[in-house]
Amino acid sequence: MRRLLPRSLPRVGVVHRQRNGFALPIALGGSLLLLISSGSLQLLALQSGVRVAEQQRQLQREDVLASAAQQQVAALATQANCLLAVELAAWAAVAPSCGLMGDQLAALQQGQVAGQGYRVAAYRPQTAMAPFSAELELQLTGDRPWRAAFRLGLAPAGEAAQQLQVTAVQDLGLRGVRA
Amino acid sequence: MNLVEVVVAAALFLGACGGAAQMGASSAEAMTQGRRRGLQQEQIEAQFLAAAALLRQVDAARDPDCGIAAQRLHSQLAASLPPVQEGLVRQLSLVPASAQVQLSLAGAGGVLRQRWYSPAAAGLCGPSGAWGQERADAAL
Repeated sequence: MRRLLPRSLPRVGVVHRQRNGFALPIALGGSLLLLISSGSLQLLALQSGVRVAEQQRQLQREDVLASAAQQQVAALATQANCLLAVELAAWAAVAPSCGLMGDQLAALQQGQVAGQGYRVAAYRPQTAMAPFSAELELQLTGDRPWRAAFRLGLAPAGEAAQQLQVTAVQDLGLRGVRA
Repeated sequence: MNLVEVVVAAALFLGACGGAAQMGASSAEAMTQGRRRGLQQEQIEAQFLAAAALLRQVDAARDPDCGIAAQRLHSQLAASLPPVQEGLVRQLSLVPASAQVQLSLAGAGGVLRQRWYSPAAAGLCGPSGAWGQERADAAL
């Protein structure tokens, strides 16, 4: 035993050092660092992808609203230009004198562009002094009721000063989501 | 430190390197795609702005027939819109049913933007003074 003990002590020491080798912790730490950094890069890329997709949807909504304005103003200008000088709230009262029936008026206050419905939310003409104009607000129907405003340039139609005609439509931008 | 530990550590590190390289490549690809999409959006906006500018500037006599005005607008847009760069597909079509011109722009990655333009909204067609006169005559 006396002769064995001094020999056995170094062996115990060797076994102890083998268990605490540095390669595995370093490899583990390095791998973790690599994976965390590349993971955060990927998260950043994913986030930017989501942002781009949301931006794309927003632009498509703006396209629908701008197209809806073109369609709506064209309908007003060609089928009901007697309503161009009248506020939306008074359309129902004035429509019969323009020869518009109830369902025709209802059809004039809503429409569809690329499968997306919209309605006229507000129409405010300014005909007190020249240059005449009007502000039209359209609202999407559905779960995201985005609203956008447009300015219409108006001018007297020929000699009949009572009648107006549309000269231009200007996009005033989105006005947010409103119920 | 023995051989087993070295081998295990090396395998672990190499595996992590492979995984990180793969993730890095896919994020780089996603970022490049995002940048490409952003550039495409800019080009699409430029096309829409050019179309809107043309609608404002067009100096044509008011046509009572919106179908004819839409045809004229279609040919004017086809002639004056700036050329699109590679990767973007522009389609300009006439919609006779509603007397409109449809401008569609499709890019890579499912990007699709489309707008409809009505000549009547730009004051290029529709009833003018004559319409009012007719109604005034009818009222009398």
